[in-house]
Amino acid sequence: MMLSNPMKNILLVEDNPDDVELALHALKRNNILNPIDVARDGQAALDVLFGTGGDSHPEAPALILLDLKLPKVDGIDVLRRIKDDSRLKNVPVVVLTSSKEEKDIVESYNLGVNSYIRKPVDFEQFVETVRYIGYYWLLLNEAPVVPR
Amino acid sequence: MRFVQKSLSRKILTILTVSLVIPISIIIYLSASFQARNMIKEMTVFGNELAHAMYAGIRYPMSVGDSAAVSKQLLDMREKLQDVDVYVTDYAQQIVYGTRSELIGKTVDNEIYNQDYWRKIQESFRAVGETQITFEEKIGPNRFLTTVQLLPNQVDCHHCHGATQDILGSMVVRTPTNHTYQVIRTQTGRVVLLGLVGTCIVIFLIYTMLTNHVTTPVNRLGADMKNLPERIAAGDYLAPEPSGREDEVGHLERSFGEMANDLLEKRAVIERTNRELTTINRELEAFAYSVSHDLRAPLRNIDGFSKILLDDYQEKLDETGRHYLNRVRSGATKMSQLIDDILSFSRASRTEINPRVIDANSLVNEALRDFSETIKARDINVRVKDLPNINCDPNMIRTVFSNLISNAIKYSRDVERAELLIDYDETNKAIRFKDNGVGFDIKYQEKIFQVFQRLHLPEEYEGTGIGLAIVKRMIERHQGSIWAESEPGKGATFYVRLPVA
Ligand SMILES: Nc1ncnc2c1ncn2[C@@H]1O[C@H](COP(=O)(O)OP(=O)(O)OP(=O)(O)O)[C@@H](O)[C@H]1O
Ligand SMILES: [Mg+2]
Repeated sequence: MMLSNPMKNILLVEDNPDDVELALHALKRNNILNPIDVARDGQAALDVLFGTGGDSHPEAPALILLDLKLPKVDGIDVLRRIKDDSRLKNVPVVVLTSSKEEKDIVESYNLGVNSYIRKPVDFEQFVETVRYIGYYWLLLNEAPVVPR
Repeated sequence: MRFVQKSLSRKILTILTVSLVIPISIIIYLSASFQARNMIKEMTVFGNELAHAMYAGIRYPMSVGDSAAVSKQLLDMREKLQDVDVYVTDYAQQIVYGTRSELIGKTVDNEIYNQDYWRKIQESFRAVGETQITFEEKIGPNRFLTTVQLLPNQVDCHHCHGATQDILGSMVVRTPTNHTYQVIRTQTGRVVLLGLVGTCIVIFLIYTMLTNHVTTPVNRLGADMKNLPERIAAGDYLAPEPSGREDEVGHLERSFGEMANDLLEKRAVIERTNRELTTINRELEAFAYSVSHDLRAPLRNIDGFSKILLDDYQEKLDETGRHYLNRVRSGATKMSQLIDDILSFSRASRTEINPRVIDANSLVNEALRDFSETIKARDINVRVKDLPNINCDPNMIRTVFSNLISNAIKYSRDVERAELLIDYDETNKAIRFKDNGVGFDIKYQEKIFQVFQRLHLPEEYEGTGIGLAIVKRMIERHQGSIWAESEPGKGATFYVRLPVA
């Protein structure tokens, strides 16, 4: 797969180590070669996005894959912080989670999520899903230039 | 306003007034008229005696023709009884002597009394020898008691009047009774007044007693009773102190108090149950939420790593190993399906219902649209007859219809030409889904509406057995009901009864 901006990172926010491994596997199978940052809880995700120190602004990722049920800071709160931030609000956020509970979907869209996808149990389908995500958000979609 | 609609105290007052005033008025009237009659009777006796006395006095002078003596007698009389008039008349009723000289020569008929009485006394004299009659007369505004004393022709009169006439004339004694009647009236007035005042006092006393003992407590109970459930709900109610009375009112108060306390207790129970239900619902919500998140993750991992094993370690696995791994994967998929099903079922209990009136036909047609490809491919004969408007949550009932249609289509897969009839059964007041599929043994009717209960094998007909459980739950939440009729091999009919709009 040809990537428009191969240098940019993908942020994967996922607490379950097995899920992390499977997600990395699925990305690799789809030849998505962007460097992957993994955050294992909501707070870690915020640290990656906003930096730990006061004024260090890390580079915004090309795509954020966000689980909702996370330790410490909830995925919904992470999403809210991202969409409230002028620098990050244009970064595509794909919620990739287990549930399709109505209230999760509604809340995510209210906060301005770009896509809501439920992780299928069948691994083949999951690989397929990741392929679509990468194809769409990294290749097909024209994102605005993110200010630094 | 009709009498029965008036307040209790008004009724008591009316009944008291009617039942006291009428008899008391009758008593007063009777006693007053009795008194008047008595007085008149006394006066009559008096008049009669007067007439006798007068007659006795003038009889001798008249028989000897001493008119001066007669006049004198009369004048004496006038002196003694100033307002009593006495006249002596001849047979033609002309006044011959009289206490008032200005009337002498006039006819009594014009001046004093009614001719009828003259005739009557003559008749009764000839029949029974009666010589006296007393009657009341009214001349202008004045009333009189008049006694007419006949002057029969007697032996000592024959020398002047001859013997041919049996009656020579009459003596009339007239006593004015205006004053008497005046007395009677004032007395009657006094009696009436006293009677009325007495009656009013009695009415007032009885009324106060009755209202104090009946109306007021009943009214207080009534006021207490008003909006009782609402007031109990708002916590603005205290059961009243019982008065400890032993009569019917006390009984009423006690029953009322018991009822109110009962309501208070029930209210408390309901509130507690409601709180518990809210908690349970919240817990169920949280439970479902974590089930949907947490229970799937391990299944994804089981399937994912099995798949990776199958793909990346192909050469290290033999046929049996691969077979087992595939079994592991399908177990994970099955389990994930079960989790989804149980979540759908719990959602059917959890989601709010927003009912509105809707045409059942449109809901059925919307549900059928999801199966249009299968219906076309298998050339299923679907007929939808006229259905009523129903009052329901359209999303839920569309799901209900969709599940029933799905079953009808699935379980008629093996018949030559599948048929599905959807109509309204007037006798059962239910919407009916009738297919000609494999059917089932009706003795398992209870089972098929339970979670994960199936009558067919998954390799014959796929499914987990959640459909009808969801259907039943949704219909029950609409206060409706569902039941089935079937026989193996003869198709199945499902009846859905919902509140018809
Ligand atoms: N129209 C029908 N004809 C014959 N059998 C039926 C019919 N509808 C339901 N049943 C029987 O009732 C059982 C329960 O039905 P239900 O819809 O709950 O589950 P399912 O169809 O097996 O699975 P699911 O609906 O969860 O996919 C079915 O397994 C079947 O045995
Ligand atoms: Mg079914």
